[in-house]
Amino acid sequence: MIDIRDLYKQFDEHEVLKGIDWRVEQGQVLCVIGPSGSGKSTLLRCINLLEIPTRGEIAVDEKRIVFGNRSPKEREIRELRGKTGMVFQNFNLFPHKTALENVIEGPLVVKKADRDRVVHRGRELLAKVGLADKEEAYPSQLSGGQQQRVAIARALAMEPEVLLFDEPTSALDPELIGEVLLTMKELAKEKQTMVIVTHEMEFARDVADQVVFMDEGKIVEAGPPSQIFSSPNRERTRRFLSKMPVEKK
Amino acid sequence: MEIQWEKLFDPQLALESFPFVLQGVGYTIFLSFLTMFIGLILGLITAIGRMSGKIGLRWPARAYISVIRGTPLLVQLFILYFGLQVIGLTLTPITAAIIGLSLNVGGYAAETIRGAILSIPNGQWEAAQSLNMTYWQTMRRIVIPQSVRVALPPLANTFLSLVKDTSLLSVITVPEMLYRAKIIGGQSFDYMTMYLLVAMMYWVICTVLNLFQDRLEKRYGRFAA
Repeated sequence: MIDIRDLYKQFDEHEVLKGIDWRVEQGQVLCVIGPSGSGKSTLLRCINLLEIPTRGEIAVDEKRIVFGNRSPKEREIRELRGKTGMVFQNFNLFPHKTALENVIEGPLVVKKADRDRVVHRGRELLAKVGLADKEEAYPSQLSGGQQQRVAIARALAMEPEVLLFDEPTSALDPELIGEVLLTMKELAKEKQTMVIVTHEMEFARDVADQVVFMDEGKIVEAGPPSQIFSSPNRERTRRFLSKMPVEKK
Repeated sequence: MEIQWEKLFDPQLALESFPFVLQGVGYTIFLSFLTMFIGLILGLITAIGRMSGKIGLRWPARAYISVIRGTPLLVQLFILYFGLQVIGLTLTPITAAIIGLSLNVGGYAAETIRGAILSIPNGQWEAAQSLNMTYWQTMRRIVIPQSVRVALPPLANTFLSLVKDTSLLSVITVPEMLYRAKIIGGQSFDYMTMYLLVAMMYWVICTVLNLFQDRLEKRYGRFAA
């Protein structure tokens, strides 16, 4: 479903992605782990086209863009981006809009959908993330965990093929992390395709179909969590995981 | 040396001439609101032009802001009214006033609005972008509504300055308050009473307008933490 080939991203002199080849199948949950600066957030932002890759290919379903020779057209970017939804580390909710208004903004403005239908769907999504009673609340009146769940509902409202999470719990107080992870687990059960950049190793072990370890702009290794966490093939992966607090079950 | 306070202010003259001077308040209010409105539109367009990636938009915006902020309003008004007459383009005093004040407000408002727009975190743009909103949809629905709250206090300052700057229009013969006060001053040879009267009238107007500012700020501040 996502097919990435030989992807490079360079910021000025600094090469952040150095040839990524990657496939994500429909319904899979992928967790991307790795040290900071390894390029995992950049990879995610490239899939959402918040960053335009320097060269390589990205395809989601049948929409494919080849980067490098020419800058992609606005229409191509929007088509590909429309298949993805993004959840940010800092939520980035619209502070002047209520929870419900945040969720319906995309369908209303971008898809120009019927308002009644959109509102109905928005309420369903807020209920799904456990915030049915908060539709009138402004982001400043919500906890970090609640804000992130609104952000997940906002991304879902655009009906993306794949949801991208960029360290969704890194900005949260420890006691609020659980509720966001729980919401994500429920989405995983519904076979929502998800790519999650995270430092939550236990979550990755429990929920991911595949764990991808990145370092220095490359995918070092990928595999099912049981294999990656218990018997990684690469020394670099082993060293990284040895520094991570993962309880052995 | 004895100080003669009674020469400073003649209450009776002030009282008698108050209705005549008050007739000028319509110009003050009308021109202030109208040129603020036009100036805000000019300012918004200029601010967006100034931030544009296109040099053909950025450069004229910069030049306009630079000229307006770098030259005295009084001189701008002289040039518009008397200068254009020299080349055969005669504007009425009111037309010259509307053009001059609007351009002036636009130049100052542009910088305020630009600052307010730049104060909106990049994450807001990215969130809108990830929902596939266009630049203009993001501006209109996400960035500008949040910028209003940031821009409101400095814009209120600009507006108060504008209200007081309408007194400069007396030099291009717009019959506003100061113009009328000076007429009486000339007749009675008591300019100081008239200046003090006009000062008090401006103070009252500005104080009332300040109350509106507070209410506006409360309204637009309601989503803040």
